[in-house]
Amino acid sequence: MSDDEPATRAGEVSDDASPVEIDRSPAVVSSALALLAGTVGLAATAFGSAAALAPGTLGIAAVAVGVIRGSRRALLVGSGALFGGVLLAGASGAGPEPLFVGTLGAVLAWDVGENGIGIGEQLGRAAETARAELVHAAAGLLVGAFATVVGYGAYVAAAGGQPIAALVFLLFGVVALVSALRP
Amino acid sequence: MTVRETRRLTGVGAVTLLAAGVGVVFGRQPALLLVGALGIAYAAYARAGGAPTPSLAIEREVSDANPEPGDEVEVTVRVTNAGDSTLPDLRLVDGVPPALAVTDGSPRHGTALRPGATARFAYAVSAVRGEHAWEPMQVVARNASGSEERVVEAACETALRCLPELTPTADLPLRGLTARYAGQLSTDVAGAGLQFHSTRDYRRGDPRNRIDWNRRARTGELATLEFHEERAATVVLVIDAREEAYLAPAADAANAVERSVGAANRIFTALLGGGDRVGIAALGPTECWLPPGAGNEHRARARRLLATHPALSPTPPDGAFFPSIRLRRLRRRLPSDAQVLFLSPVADDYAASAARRLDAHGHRVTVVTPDPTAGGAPGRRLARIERRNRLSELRRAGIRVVDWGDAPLAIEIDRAARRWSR
Repeated sequence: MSDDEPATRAGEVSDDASPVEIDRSPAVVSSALALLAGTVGLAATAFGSAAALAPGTLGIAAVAVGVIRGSRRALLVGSGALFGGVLLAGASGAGPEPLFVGTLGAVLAWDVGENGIGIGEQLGRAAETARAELVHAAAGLLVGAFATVVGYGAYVAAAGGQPIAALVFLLFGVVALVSALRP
Repeated sequence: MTVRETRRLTGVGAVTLLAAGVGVVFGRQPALLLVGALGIAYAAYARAGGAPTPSLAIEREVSDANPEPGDEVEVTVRVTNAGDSTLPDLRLVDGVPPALAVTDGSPRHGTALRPGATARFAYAVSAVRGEHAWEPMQVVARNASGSEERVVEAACETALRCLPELTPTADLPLRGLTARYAGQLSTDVAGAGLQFHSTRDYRRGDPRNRIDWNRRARTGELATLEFHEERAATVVLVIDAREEAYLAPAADAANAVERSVGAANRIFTALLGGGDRVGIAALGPTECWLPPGAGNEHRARARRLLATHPALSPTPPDGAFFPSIRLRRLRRRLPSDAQVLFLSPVADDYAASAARRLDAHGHRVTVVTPDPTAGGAPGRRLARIERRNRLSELRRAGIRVVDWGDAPLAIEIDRAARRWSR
C-alpha cells in the first residue's frame, strides 16, 4: 500500500477471505521427509566412498535452505550436489548398494521437497495436508524401491557376464523410448 | 476445468544419462550404470497416467445459519470421492464468502482419497452483517507423481444469514424541520405541548385546561396559555455506500460503510421509538430506498434492508456510480419536509458537496461521520487533515456534524449535541 492512500481499503481480500496473510512456506511433513531422504542417501553414499562427503554435505545444506525458504532452485542445487556425490563415489569404485540408496535419497529429496513447496504455495501452512504429503512421498519411495530391486536384481543376475556397452545402449534405448511415450 | 502439466520430474532422465556417462568415462563402473535405472523408473512414473477427473460429493455444515454479528461460526466440510478412481493428491480450497474472515483453522485442505473415502476439515469464520453464500470450492487433483494437475470447481450451496437486532442509541437531537404529525420534537409553533411558549387573549372554543386561571383570579380577564407544539420529524438516513467510502483505519478494522450501517441501525430505532417517520437511502451504485414510515412492519423491513441489501454489503460494490444522477433521484424522492441524516466518512469532496447540496435544497442535514483515518505515514496524516478541513467547512455552512471516532456513538452524539445547544 502506498503512503498517500487515506487508509486501508478493508473488504478487498484474497480468495479465502482472510485479511491476515496466509503463511505460504513449504509444508512441514514434506520438508522433514526431504531432509531425511537426503541425509539417509548421503550416509549410504559416504559408506561406499568418503569422496561423496564434501559435495553431499553441501547438498544437504542447500536442500535445507530450499525447503525452509521455499526455494526450488536451492532444492535443485542441493539434490544435484547429492547426486554429484553419488557420481563421485561411483567413479571411485563404490559398490552398487550405496549408489542405489544415495541416488534414491537425492531424487526423493527433490521430489518430496518440491511437492512440499507446491503444497505450501497452494494451500498454506495452516491447512491440514499431511495425508496428501505422505501419500506422495510413499508413492515416490515405492517407485524408487521397485526400480532399485529390478536394477539390483539385474546386477546380481548378470554379474560380470554381460558387456557394459550392451547395458549402456539398453539404457539409452529405454530413455529414448520413455521420452517418446506420450500419456 | 483446466488441465496443466506441472513440468515436475521432466529432467529426471538426466540422472540416467549422467550416471551412464560417468560410469563409462571413469573406468567402466557397472554399478553406476545400473543406478541409471532409477532415472528411467522416475521418468516413466512421471508419464504414467494423467491427472484423474475428480468426482466429489461435498457437504458443508455451518454451526449456526443465523448468527449474530461477531459470532464465530464453525464450518465443517466433508468431501467424499464419489468416482471410481483413487485421487492420490487432492487439494481443496473452500469458497468462503468474501465478506467473512476466517478466524480459526484453514479453509484449505490437502488429502488423498480412495473411491468412497471421505475427508473432513473444519474452520471458523466470524459472522458479519448480511447474506453470505459460499462460492464453489476450488479442487486441484494431481496424479501420483504430480506431473499433471486438473483444476475444477465443485459447488455446494451454503448460506449464512446474519441480521443484527435493531438496538436504539441515545436520542439524536434533530433539527427544527418537522412534519404535521404530533411527536417529540419541540417547535416554535404555539399550541398544545409541555413547554411554555406565550399567552394570548382567550378565544371562544379554547380548551378549558389551557385557560390561565391565575390571571383570571388576579385581573378577571380570560387568557389562554400557549405551549411549544411538539411535532414529529420525517428523517431519511442517507448512507454513503460508494466505493470511496469503504475505508478503514487498519486492515482488520470495520470499514466506514459497516460502521455507518451500524449507526443507521441504532439511530433508526431511536427515532422510530420517538414517533418520527424514518426512511433509509443509500448513495451508491446500487439503488436502495426505503420511504419514510412508521410501525412494526416498517421496522422489520428496515432491519432486513440494513442487514442484507446488496447496496450496503460489507464489501465494496463493482458497478459504476453516477454522482449527479443518483443525487438528483434521491432529492426527487425525499419528502419536502424531510430532514437528512447523512452517514459518510467524508473522505472525499463529493461527500461534502452532496451534504451541502441537500442542505441547500431545504433539507436540514446532519452529518454523522465515522472517522476512517489513521495516523502514521505523512500521506495518512494529510488525508486526516483534509477530512478535518472538509468537516469544518460543513460546520461553517451551518450543517451539524457528529465526528465519530473510536468512542461509542452515543457519547459522540452527546458531545456534539452539547456544542450545538451552546
